Amino acid sequence: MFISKIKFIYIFFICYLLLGLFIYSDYGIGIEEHFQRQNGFYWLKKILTFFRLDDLNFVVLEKYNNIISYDPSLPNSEFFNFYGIAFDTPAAFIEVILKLNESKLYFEVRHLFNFFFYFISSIFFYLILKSRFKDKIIIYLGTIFYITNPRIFGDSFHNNKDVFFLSILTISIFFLFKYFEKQKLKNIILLCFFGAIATSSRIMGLYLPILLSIFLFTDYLSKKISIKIFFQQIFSILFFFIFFLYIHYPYMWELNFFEFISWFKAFFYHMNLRILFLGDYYHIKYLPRLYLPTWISITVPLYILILLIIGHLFMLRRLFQRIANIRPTEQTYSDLWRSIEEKKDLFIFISLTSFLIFAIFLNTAMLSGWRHFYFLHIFIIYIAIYKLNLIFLYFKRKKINILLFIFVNLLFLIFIIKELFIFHPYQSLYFNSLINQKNYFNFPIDTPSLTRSDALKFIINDSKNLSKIFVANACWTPLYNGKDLLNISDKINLVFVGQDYNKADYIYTNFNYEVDPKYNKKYNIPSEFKEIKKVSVRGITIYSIYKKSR
Amino acid sequence: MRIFFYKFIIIIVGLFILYQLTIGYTIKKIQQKFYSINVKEQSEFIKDKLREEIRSTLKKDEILTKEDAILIKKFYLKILSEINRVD
Repeated sequence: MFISKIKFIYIFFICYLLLGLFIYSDYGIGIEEHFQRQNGFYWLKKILTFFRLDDLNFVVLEKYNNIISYDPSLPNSEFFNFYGIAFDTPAAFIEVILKLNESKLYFEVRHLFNFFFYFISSIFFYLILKSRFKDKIIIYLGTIFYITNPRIFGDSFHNNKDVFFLSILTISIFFLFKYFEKQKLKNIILLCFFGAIATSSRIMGLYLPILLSIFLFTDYLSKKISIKIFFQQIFSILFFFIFFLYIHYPYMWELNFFEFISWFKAFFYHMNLRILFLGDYYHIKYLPRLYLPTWISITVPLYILILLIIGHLFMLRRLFQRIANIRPTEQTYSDLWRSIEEKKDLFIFISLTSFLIFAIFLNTAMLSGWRHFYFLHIFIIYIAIYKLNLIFLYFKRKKINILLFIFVNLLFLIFIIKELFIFHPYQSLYFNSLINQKNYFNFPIDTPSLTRSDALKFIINDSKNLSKIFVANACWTPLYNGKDLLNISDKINLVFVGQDYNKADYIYTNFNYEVDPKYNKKYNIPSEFKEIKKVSVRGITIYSIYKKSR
Repeated sequence: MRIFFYKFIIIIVGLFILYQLTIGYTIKKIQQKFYSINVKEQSEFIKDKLREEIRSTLKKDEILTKEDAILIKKFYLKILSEINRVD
């Protein structure tokens, strides 16, 4: 029996891994991938120069210079050098070692690499649930929810920044929960190691040691630990966290203690852009307060969303109940949590709530939907599963109820797998049923610019008789970067003319604009072009291709 | 100490949210309006609209009514005579 249970989990993860290996090459290039690749080579060049590995450095330097000359419009790595060390540098190293010189190949390897990290994080999420919930069905459902959220599933193949951060954060939280269970040095070291990697991927990773310190302080206040142990633990956490951050994060080396604030300023840089939200264009720094909650509401599957809202309210109620029941003289059952499980729940609750408050009330620059906050996915699923567990505990008193519970969840799983299938390979552009044909144009759709490569493949197939194919793009997307997922023989015929529509044979648009098309006509398609292809999913138009009438 | 700490945190968070829902909300609205206006884009839009209107007007046989034509002519002649006087 035990062996069969073990086998089920093994089979499940093997199937997931095989699925990823089977479909990873279907995905397009994300909008930031070129810049991230450049960043990877920037850091690799610096590291190899430091270690005086000249032979390898020569190849890296050549690749770095090629990237810069190929696309001078990419942001400057000298300035934006604060991210990319944990994912992009190893990816660049693999590219050099395996001598991957064809763009299609090295971008696909990056996609595979990204998926692999997310796959590992899903195992850690399974272990988090396993240590928190008793019923296998809840643990399995939680793991499946974590994997099958369409936007995250799609992004796990190409979003090397946000989903990578989510993956590392999940691993860090696993070790943090291990630390809650047993305050061993080994757990502190592993937590700080992964926490440091998370921080070098997104500065928000800093919240881990901060929130953990607050939890330790509450432990001290509840007299669970002495003042001596409190300071010992705080010192160990800070020491190992800063140590791991320092040894792997070159941006830390530039930190001057007297210019602490200016060191942080770089992380809050934002472009001077306007983005579409609820039908209007807003500056990315001054978005409406409901920006993040709205995006979460329209892109997380409704079933999970409902569980999340109710679960969150339940956790809030429990927190107030615990606070109300604290008695100064009592120790037992007189604290913010009554068990390690409750402590874990509270950590997740405070994490999600504080990030939501941060995003709602402070002017947080966001674009491309809510991808900067995709790391909230782990909290969202955890809280949804927390609520599902409460429902299950209520239901499991009768066998018939358990069957009903299984039936409802099975229906949802079938639905979500169907959605994944329908949206493939554009799961990153998923909207739940709150968004339909009538209101989808109030939001940007193809924000990661995933459709570029597929559109170019179509154009090449449609223009076999042309020796040179002139392609314009009537959107903000850098179309020319999409050719890097094409074969060499295909891409040499393509000539990109930007918005010079007079020269173009074809025009591509994914309806993603940085200016309000009501006022700015630069993306208006000239009347001599006729639409020859329109790709829609569930009535939502993702991209269109226009051809000049001859 | 413990109860004081929890109360302190709750009050701080409560005050922050209260501020953001009142004064902060007003400031945010002004910032949003200010930064969402793109003067260049909108002036271009108005210019284009004007050009469009002029073009469509030129297609008409008559732009002005007889009374308006007389009025504008008188106005034009008056202006012209004043300009000539300066010369």
